[in-house]
Amino acid sequence: MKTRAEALSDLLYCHAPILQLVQALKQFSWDSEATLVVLTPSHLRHVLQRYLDGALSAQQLEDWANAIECREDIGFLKAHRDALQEVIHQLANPLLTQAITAENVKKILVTLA
Amino acid sequence: MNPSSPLYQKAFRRYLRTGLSIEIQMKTAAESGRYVWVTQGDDKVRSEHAANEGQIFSWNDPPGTGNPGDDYHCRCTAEPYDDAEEERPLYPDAIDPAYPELLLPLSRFGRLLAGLLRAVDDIHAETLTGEQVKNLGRFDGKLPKDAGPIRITGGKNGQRTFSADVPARNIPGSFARYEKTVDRAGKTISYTKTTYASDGSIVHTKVK
Repeated sequence: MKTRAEALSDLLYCHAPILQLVQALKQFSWDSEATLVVLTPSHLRHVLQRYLDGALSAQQLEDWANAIECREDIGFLKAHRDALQEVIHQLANPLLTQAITAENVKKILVTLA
Repeated sequence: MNPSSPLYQKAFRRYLRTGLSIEIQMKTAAESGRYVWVTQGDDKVRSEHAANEGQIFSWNDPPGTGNPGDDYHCRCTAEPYDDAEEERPLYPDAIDPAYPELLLPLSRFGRLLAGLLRAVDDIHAETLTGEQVKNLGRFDGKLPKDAGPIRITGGKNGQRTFSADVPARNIPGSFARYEKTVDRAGKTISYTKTTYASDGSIVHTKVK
């Protein structure tokens, strides 16, 4: 069985179908006093590129971001914290911010460069 | 403690902002030898190192790959990690450990006094257990930056529900409500995000 940090790492890279990744994390409590893994620009670029390559749909990308948003055991790399938080918020809430389209994702990738 | 040291100055500024004691911050910083593994993120990164991306390690207890830079031609870097810098606005030291079940007046929260925290606008905030206060801090710290005031409502058996709305940027009147229910022991029972259309109807609810 994977540790919580390993399951979280899989989520950050979106290494499996979202439902499977979320289910793997359900065996652990939501609550966490400590950050166990940190989202970095590399994770984000990796997942966004998969969307652009057609390996992930817009809905899957939204579900992925939604699975990360607000998690207590996931932090954001300090040097890019605001930018990463903002992108996760946008992707997790396309109805409130902007639609997930190839054009918008490319713009996001530029901001992460 | 040397008040002129950069570490002390940083801890002092954080104390003003969050109320977290300088002593605890200094102790944490001294003990923390941890870092976040960061790769170059390109296709030259070894797969073993890519697996370490974003993971938190200790210099004294590195993963099987060794610390960043240990391997031949390794370009990975270590970003210093300090858990005290994570955003958790309400800290355990806001709670009197001798009376963790006592009701805490809002005036105990330095950040509330300083007006730096979003206002908690419900009377139930004064009837949180210590563990619920900690959970509230985690809830607040992870909300999107556009979130409005946190509401705290009561429930059966001492349960409390924290909720906050995040307005849409593109559709006036539309918003998402983040809602977390915790039991008396401070354990999260449920966490949902419900998106509302501008006419007040629910678009969807997602379980966190």
